[in-house]
Amino acid sequence: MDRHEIEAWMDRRREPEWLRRLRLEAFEAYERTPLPALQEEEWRRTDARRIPLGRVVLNGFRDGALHEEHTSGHPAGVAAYLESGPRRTGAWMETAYSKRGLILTDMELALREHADLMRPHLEGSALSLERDKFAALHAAVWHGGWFLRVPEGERIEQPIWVRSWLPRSHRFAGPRTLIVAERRSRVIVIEERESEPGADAAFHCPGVEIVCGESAEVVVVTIDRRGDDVWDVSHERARVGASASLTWIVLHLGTLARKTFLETSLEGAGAEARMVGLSLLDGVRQSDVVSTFHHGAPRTRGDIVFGGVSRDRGRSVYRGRIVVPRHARGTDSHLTHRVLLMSPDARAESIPILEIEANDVKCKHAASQGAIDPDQLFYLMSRGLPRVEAERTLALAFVEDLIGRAPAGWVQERLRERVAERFNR
Amino acid sequence: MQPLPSDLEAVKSLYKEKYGFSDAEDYVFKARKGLDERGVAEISHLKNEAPWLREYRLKALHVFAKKRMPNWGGDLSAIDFNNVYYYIRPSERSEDNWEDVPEYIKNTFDRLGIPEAEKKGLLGGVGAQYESEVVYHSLQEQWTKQGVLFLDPDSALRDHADLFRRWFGKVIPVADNKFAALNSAVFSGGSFIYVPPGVKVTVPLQAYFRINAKNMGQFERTLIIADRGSDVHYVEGCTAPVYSSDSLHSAVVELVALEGAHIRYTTIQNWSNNVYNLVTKRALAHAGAFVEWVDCNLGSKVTMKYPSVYMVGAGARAEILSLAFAADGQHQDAGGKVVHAAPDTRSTIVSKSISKGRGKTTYRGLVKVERGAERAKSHVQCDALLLDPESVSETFPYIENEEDRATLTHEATVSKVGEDQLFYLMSRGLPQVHAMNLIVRGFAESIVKEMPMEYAVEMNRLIEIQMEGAVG
Amino acid sequence: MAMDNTFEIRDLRVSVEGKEILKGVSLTIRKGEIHALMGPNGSGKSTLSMALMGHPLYSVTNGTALYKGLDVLGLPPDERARQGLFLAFQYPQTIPGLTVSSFLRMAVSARRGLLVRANGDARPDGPRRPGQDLLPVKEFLRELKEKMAALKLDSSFMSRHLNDGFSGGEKKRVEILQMALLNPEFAILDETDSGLDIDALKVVAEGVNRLTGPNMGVLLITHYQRLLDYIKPHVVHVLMDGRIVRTGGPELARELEAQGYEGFRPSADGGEATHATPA
Repeated sequence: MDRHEIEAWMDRRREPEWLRRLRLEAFEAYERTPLPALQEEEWRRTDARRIPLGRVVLNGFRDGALHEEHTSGHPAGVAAYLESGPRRTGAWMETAYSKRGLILTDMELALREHADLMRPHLEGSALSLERDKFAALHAAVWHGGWFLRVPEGERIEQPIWVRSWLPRSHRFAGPRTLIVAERRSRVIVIEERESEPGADAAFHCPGVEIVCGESAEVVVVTIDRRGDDVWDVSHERARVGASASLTWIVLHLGTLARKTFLETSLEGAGAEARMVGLSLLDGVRQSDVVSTFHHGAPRTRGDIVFGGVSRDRGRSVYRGRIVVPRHARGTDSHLTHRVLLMSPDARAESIPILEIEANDVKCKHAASQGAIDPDQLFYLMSRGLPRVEAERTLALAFVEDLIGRAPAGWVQERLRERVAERFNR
Repeated sequence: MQPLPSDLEAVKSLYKEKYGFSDAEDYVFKARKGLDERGVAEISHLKNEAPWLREYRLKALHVFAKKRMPNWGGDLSAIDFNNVYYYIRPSERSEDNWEDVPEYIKNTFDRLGIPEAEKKGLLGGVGAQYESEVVYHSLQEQWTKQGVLFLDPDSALRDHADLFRRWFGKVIPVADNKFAALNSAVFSGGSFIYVPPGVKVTVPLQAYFRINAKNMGQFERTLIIADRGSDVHYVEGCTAPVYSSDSLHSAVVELVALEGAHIRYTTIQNWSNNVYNLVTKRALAHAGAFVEWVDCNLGSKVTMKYPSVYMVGAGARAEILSLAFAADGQHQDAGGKVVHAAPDTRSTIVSKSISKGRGKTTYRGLVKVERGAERAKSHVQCDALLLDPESVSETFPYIENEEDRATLTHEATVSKVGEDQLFYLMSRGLPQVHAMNLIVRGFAESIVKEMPMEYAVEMNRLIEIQMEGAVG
Repeated sequence: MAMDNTFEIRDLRVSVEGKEILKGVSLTIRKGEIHALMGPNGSGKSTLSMALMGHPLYSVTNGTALYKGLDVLGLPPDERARQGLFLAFQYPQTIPGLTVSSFLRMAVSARRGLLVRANGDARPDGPRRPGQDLLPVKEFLRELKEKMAALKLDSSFMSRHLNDGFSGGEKKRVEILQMALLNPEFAILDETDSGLDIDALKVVAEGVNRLTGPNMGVLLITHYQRLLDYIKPHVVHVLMDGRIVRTGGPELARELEAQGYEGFRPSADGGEATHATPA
């Protein structure tokens, strides 16, 4: 891949000048940035040299996918629905919302129709996505993904559901997701990421940006069930404005190996963010997640609970940072990491970090790791549950304790169903 | 609440008065500054060392040169290895009679109150190191009779060469880290302790370390072997004069607790604020053994020290209590490491850190459970107290687990002094500064109470001196 | 002999972490009987209950516990439960994330043979669709609500997590609720009265009285006489230092209350425990 190739690709995609400039700058950064070394603190446990960068190709997506209106077949109880993929995609939206300016659309289409709305966010984020070689790669060659915009003051009661899907033929993908919830808006959005497994390793390098305007209330749920052939390096970032509240739920059920950066910046006074993460690891799958809560303004609140269940040879690394700079007075931030190890070959690492430069704060973290509690197991068995059943029940209870923190109803049901599916595999 | 006034000068002058005086230099031997093969060979020559040890030192020098400076932890960029005296011999030999110690050194230790405790019979033995050499060493007859050894390394090498060589460098290899390599090349002074099987030394053995010269580097080496079922408590303290240029202290401490033995190692580190304190401390705990580190860091400019315990035998236990206080201009990067390498091992780490003014404390720790360490249990508790708006605290705990049947828990909190607590005390008539003092002492209490009475009193006084800037 | 009607413990010796706690306990409970086992702290009362239920930390070094012609001591705890043995725990476990109703539905289904194959084997660790081997939800809920009402447990408890945030009295009522649903043939109640105020004690005792009858044998473990004011035992045993030192009728409990346990301590020369045959 070289500069000419990218230019030709952008020509074919008929991309605007400002985007071409962003991509070329990012590509330069990609070329001059070395692969992260194992000595680098955040890459100590993932050897970047093993990531199949050779999969990167530029002709992945059909240039400018087209929407097909889902006149029927969209799921019940949702405000809007989008199927996003490399070919023709489908969408549906409650008419009342589309009239009031709600946008949910495929990224390729959004670039044509809503470039003005997206441009400030894409330009603003390009630099932050330069934090390592993979972020630069994403910023240079991203394609596909989706765009959601909730207009100012608009309160969407039913959830918005997005299904992102990649066929076997796509061994590389770099989708970009942009969620913009404007001031005082309210929205719940669920994305399920899926991919069709192939015979050899695939490489994904997605980027997610969530923008919560002042006083917005946003719930973002990601259910990742991509194939067990995927190597994934993703950079996901949320910005939370003054008095806004974000609940971010991340359920990792798929991929072979992941390196995921989840960054939450509490940028306005009184901003609030909750994160609930859960990864289920089985087989030889591994997960390396770095989450950062950056308290950038006074009186912000953060609450993170990250959990992991590892079976077989599943390995997990979780590094959770809470950063409080000097001016962030009145910060209140908690982080909890819990791991359940269910087999002798399972492994886990926790690295919860506090970096505190202000003294008017309450910050706490806690981590625990262990096997199923033998007394709980005995209790369930004493009620007649066979050992296997009792162990499964306790593992699901461990998971349920996390799921219970998601918004009740539709979201929780969906999470439960997906966990049970993976668990019973 | 108004931030408390922070007065660096007040603390400095208090320290200076109490510990920070200096003596005129009148040394038997003072090596030139800087570090090279010739200098290292000279130290070995002056000590009449066996060829193996000379080779060991020279090899370590090469490792030191090759190793990179740590790219984490405290800021060490101002250390100039060429501007350090690596070896100063203050007197001809180590005395076992206090009266024979050179007058000016005796005065120094008298002023620091060192021989007092020994006279009162509160200690089983005392060692005093001044610059690079141990100037005084004694062990009560009761313990010598039972075969306890408490010597400086030179004497140990001379009289118990086999025993010394069997364990020396086995717990902390030369190449462990850059500063362990440095110590291995130029070490001088320190303690060698051997406690025979079943002997329980019921009163602490104490060593006191004093740096006097400007730009001094002190590199003592301590090796403690507690044989089967024995018990020993070692206490060390350290101070230095206040200079405008920096000194370097880089010790290596190796502990071996054989089956069922118990070692407690207490440190009260009170270096002046111009000392880089970069120390490697590690213990091996065999089956059923119990090792405790009580590590208090109040002084120094930058401290990087993480006492560790490798539990290599079934049922071994480790406890690390770490207390750190960083005032203006100080960075205490402390913590602890425990490695569970055998079944039924248990560990506890408790860290309390206090940052005042622009002081910075870092807890850095590792809990590692190796596969096969079934039923291992570990709990870590870190609490940080920030006294002023500019105070900084960091917490970096690493938890690595390869054993599904292990139970590991970790908790950490960072907070300022509770307004409700402060209000409660003030409502009983205490002025704010005193209330603050009491709260800080209460915060440190769980660690201070683990010390013998005299040391606990001393600790509380040191905390008060650290707080003094606020009181003044 | 109608073996199905007795639960017979013979010369049971149990050690915990290498220390012998029970030093040869024998007792026989017939269906329809309530036996009270009393003893001071540390006499081995809870060890007996844990060992009979099969807790892995309690190792049986000698003896048998025969039931339906089967020595239950050789069975895993879940199999004992499915055979009709029940233990109301002194300290019930708290399991966040597991709702009372889904736990009980699974337990009831296990007891009724739905979760396990006819030959008694647990199903292999394979895919199991939710609800596949469980009692139909409507039927279960009807039964659950009825039993909860009888124990004055609010129906909101169904969706709460097991013992998570429950008061002492609530935990004990949930234990008795489990007993009601699992319908055991022999039940051991371990200090079910501890930590209860008088109102809670009455509710629990009423629950127990309602459940017992000609088809159930009960071993009531208690430290105090108080519970026996509400549940009338047929036989009272006194356990001291891992041995049953006296067995008698209900009057023995009152005697204990009056004299304390000291008078029952066996003499230094090792006076044999008496074994009275229950009436």
